[in-house]
Amino acid sequence: MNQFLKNKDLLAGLMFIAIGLIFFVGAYNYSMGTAARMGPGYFPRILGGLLVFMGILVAGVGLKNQAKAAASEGIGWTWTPVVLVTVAVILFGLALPRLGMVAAVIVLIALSGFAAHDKNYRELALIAVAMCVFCAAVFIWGLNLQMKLWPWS
Amino acid sequence: MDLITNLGVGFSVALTFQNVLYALIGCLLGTLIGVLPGIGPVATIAMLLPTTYVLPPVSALIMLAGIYYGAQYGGSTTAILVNLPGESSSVVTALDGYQMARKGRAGAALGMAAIGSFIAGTFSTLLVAAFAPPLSEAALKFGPADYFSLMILGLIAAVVLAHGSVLKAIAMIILGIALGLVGTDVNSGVARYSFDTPELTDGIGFVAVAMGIFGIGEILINLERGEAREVFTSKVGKLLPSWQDFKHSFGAIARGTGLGSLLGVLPGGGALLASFSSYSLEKKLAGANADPPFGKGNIRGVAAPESANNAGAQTSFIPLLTLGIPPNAVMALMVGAMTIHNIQPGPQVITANPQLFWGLIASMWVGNLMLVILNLPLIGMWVQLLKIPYRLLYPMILVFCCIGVYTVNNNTFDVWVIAAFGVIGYIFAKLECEPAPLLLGFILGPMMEENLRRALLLSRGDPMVFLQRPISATMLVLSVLLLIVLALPAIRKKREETFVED
Repeated sequence: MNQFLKNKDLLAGLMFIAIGLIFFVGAYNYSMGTAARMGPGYFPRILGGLLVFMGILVAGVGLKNQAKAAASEGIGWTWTPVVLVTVAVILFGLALPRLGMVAAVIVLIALSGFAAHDKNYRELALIAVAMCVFCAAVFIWGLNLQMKLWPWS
Repeated sequence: MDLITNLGVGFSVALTFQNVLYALIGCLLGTLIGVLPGIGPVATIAMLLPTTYVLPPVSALIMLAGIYYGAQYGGSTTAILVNLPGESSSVVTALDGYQMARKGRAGAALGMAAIGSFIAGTFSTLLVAAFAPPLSEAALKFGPADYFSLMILGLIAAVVLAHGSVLKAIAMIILGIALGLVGTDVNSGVARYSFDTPELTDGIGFVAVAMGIFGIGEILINLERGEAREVFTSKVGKLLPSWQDFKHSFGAIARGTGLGSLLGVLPGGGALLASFSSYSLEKKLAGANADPPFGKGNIRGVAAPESANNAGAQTSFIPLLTLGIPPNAVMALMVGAMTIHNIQPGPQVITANPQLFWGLIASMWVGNLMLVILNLPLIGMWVQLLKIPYRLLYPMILVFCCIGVYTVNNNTFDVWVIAAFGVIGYIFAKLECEPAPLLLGFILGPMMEENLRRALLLSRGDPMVFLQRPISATMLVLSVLLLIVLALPAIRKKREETFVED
């Protein structure tokens, strides 16, 4: 099994098949109509089917080259930075309307900053301050975008 | 002469103080991100789109266009000085440019790159001005069936010219079109694939998709790789190339400009393909006994791709401005920029908004002139910027992405969408699925469905309409031919070689 997880083409193909199926099956919720009077389900069903078909081809190529893939070092996922940055962005989205820009920027920089190999906390603090000042000046005072600056403003 | 009056109108728009200022901002920003590896024009334009709400449409487009061609200039600077192409379109410039720099001729290489870019920019601006009006007129005769077939051709051509696996690129296009379906169907009012989430009934914002994949996804990949950037600080040397260099490069610049202009118009083309192809062409023409050999610091290897990528960047505006069909990801964002300002891209722009149309074209030349004048003296500053380590850079990029996307609709959901597409972009990159075709499909998808629907409505459901209309039939035949050519083993091998130059 592990050997198949090294196969980029196979995994990509399976991904396309899965997404294609979602679209294909989902299209049954919408009326098909006829070619002359297409319903909302017509085009999605064609696309879903095409995507599944392409997925099968891609996966097939992957299987054909399985020996080469098995001999490779594998894909090498590194999830730590992915999780850190993603959580940071999600929290930013939550914080911005509620706690204001300053808090949101600090949360974003503090969390995502951990993702670097060569992190330096003093530098991160400096960037956070600089970015808060810059964004407040440009986005809130300069461009007048509708955003809270502080939790209480 | 119509051309001259039209360009006159254009320059009167482009040379107003405000528009010169925005062209300057665009060029400087473009150069900046061109110099900095790890952030490209797609992410930058996506980030800045929301802030262009406050600008008049012409100024907004002028600035965004400046970012695109400015990035071509900036990319060459780092390619030559530190062997690190800031943009993918400058990858081949590094081959000979860096070797020249090591021999103490960095100045000549940089100067020749800038001069070549400027000549190419001038020529291709004229080309856009000359060819856009007749093409727009022709495009007005297009019916829905013709448009649909044209988009098919465009998407298939984009696959041929993309690098990496053809099958995956096709799958990515279809995936992009499918993602474009999410949201309320304009004809029936049915909310498709919205999973009862109110935010999704408006569809997924393409700014969020572009920023997520090209901004955040890119960061995730860079973080994984860690940093391997060495700044090569040598003397830049005399910036003006010698007369000998000029004589050597003149043909290369001319061929690069011609090839680049041609490839820029093709869907999927633009700057990247232009620079790769013209480098290969130059290498082939020079033959084995070039002195110095290619890859060892031949100035033609700098002049040709740099002219070509700038020409390609410029002429890729032609399909956008005349047909409303974006040939690459950056142009797809320009479609977005135009729709933000309620301008429907397409053949009617030239008659409905002549000020905007000609102003934008004239500004390209103004911008190119600025880049030559400004960049050469500022090279020292750009090199200093390269010393900013990535660990400081990426939190800033993240902040701009997040604030930028939030301000599109003042909506937390959009921020979550970029988080999701960041992860998706990372997965795509790990599975070697090129994301640019996805963005193209995402933009073209709704237009394709609409035109397919209309074409079949008019023909009462008869699919033969696509073959009966001459324009449509031609497009489809061309598409099939492209696919056949692509399947030929000899071409397949050639195509792999072209993109494995780095």
